[in-house]
Amino acid sequence: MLRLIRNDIRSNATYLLLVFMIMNLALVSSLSWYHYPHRYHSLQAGFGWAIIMVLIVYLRDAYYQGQLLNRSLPIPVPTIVLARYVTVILLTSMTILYGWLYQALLETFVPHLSRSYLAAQMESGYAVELSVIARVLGLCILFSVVTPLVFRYGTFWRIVVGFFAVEVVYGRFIDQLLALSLRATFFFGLSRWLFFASLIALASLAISARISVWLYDRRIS
Amino acid sequence: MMENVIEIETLRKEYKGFTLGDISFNVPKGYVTGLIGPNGAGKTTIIRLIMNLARRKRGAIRVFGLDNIEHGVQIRDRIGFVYDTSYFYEDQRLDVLGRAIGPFYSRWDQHRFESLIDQFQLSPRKTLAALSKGMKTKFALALALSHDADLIVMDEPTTGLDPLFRRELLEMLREVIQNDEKSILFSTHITSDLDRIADYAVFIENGQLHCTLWKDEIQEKWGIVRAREDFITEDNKALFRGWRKHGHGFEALTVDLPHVRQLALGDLVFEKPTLEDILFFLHKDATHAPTH
Repeated sequence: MLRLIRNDIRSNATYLLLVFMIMNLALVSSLSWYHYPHRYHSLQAGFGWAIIMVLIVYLRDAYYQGQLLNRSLPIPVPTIVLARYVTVILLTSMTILYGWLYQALLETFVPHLSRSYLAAQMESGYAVELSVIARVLGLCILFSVVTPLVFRYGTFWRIVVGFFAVEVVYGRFIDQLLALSLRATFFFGLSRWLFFASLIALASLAISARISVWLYDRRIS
Repeated sequence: MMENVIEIETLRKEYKGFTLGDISFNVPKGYVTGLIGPNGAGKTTIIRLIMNLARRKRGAIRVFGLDNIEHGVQIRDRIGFVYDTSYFYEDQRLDVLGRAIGPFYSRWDQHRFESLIDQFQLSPRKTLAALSKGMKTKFALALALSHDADLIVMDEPTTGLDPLFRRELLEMLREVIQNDEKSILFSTHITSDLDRIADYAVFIENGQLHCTLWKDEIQEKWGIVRAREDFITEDNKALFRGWRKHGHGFEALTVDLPHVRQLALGDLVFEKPTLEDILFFLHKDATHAPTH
């Protein structure tokens, strides 16, 4: 499985690096353009760019019909699917983490460039913890729904069109999740809500992976 | 008793507008088997079903005596494949692709891969995108031959290749089966390629199995017959397939040449059929349309 993950990242490395550079440019420019950049702006951007990182992997795989190659090799279908899930989680986490570290690095090494407010918020009205929980949960549910569909029906153009649909859904969906995250924190307390949210995220990914295996196995090439 | 590497029994697959219908045939061990048929006959569908890239509706496929779905991983470890189109990331270098793909095989031999790349005059530091169609096929073949595969499955590998490289490729395949342990399943609509190397041929048309033939059998029993039209009678009509009238006579394929020779009264002309001739006459026979 490790070889598959390494192949996934290595074969897309040029494009991932390109997206990473564009992400940095976007972060640098937003610092100078925004008059009142909030402290977690780059973390928020990390969530947005994470979807594009995953899009690169899906798109290139669909373009070169990677499933044709993978399924012709002596690799069990569950391993192929699981490796793709790990790649997606890895890329997403690293992009989000980079977004989070970006502001911290800036403030540590070049504090004069940082004009951020020290408000601990990603979205106004919500503590950053609630936003992070809601966004992570949102991404997990999103990938849980999208990935099986990509495994079964993913062609280059379907993924391109689907990406825009996903962006719209994610944008709309996140507001609902933020409100839910806030209510759940009031109701359960932060640590319990964090536990439940993690449970939901893991369960949705596990169910999704199982469905992906089933669908991928039945994909007509 | 002859050993088979692939056994297909009443295989059925349905697509919208195309049905591969209940076909059965075997691929014998140690030989080159040609899967022949016109475009759209179902050759690629059969190969995809064997490779488990598509799900059969019913029937059974056993490769090396094992069910191809249940033992897919074991089976694919012993198969080298060359498809009609490139399925690798084309912006990757050949050596990188070799290192990425090869180690999935339990019997992968990196030295053999490197020597084949060298033998095929491919530059390992070039990207796949920089190669011609023929060179891409060579690369796929190098991968297929570098893990000591017992069966090489090739789907239209010679389509779009220049005649010189096609000859070269066929020579390479001849070398592969020298020790009688390896087998090749080769699908193509360019029958002249199979005339050169195939020992056994499976004819497919419109998703149906027409017939299976040993090349020796073709040499002994099959022939193209040309004669006067009055030679055909109701009694001997069954001996001829896909007959067609031309000029003052007729032309047909016979599957019982010795018998027809016995019937001959001296004005028959016989010719050894190529696989293309057989494909043509069988197609005529299937469509029941004598041509003029």
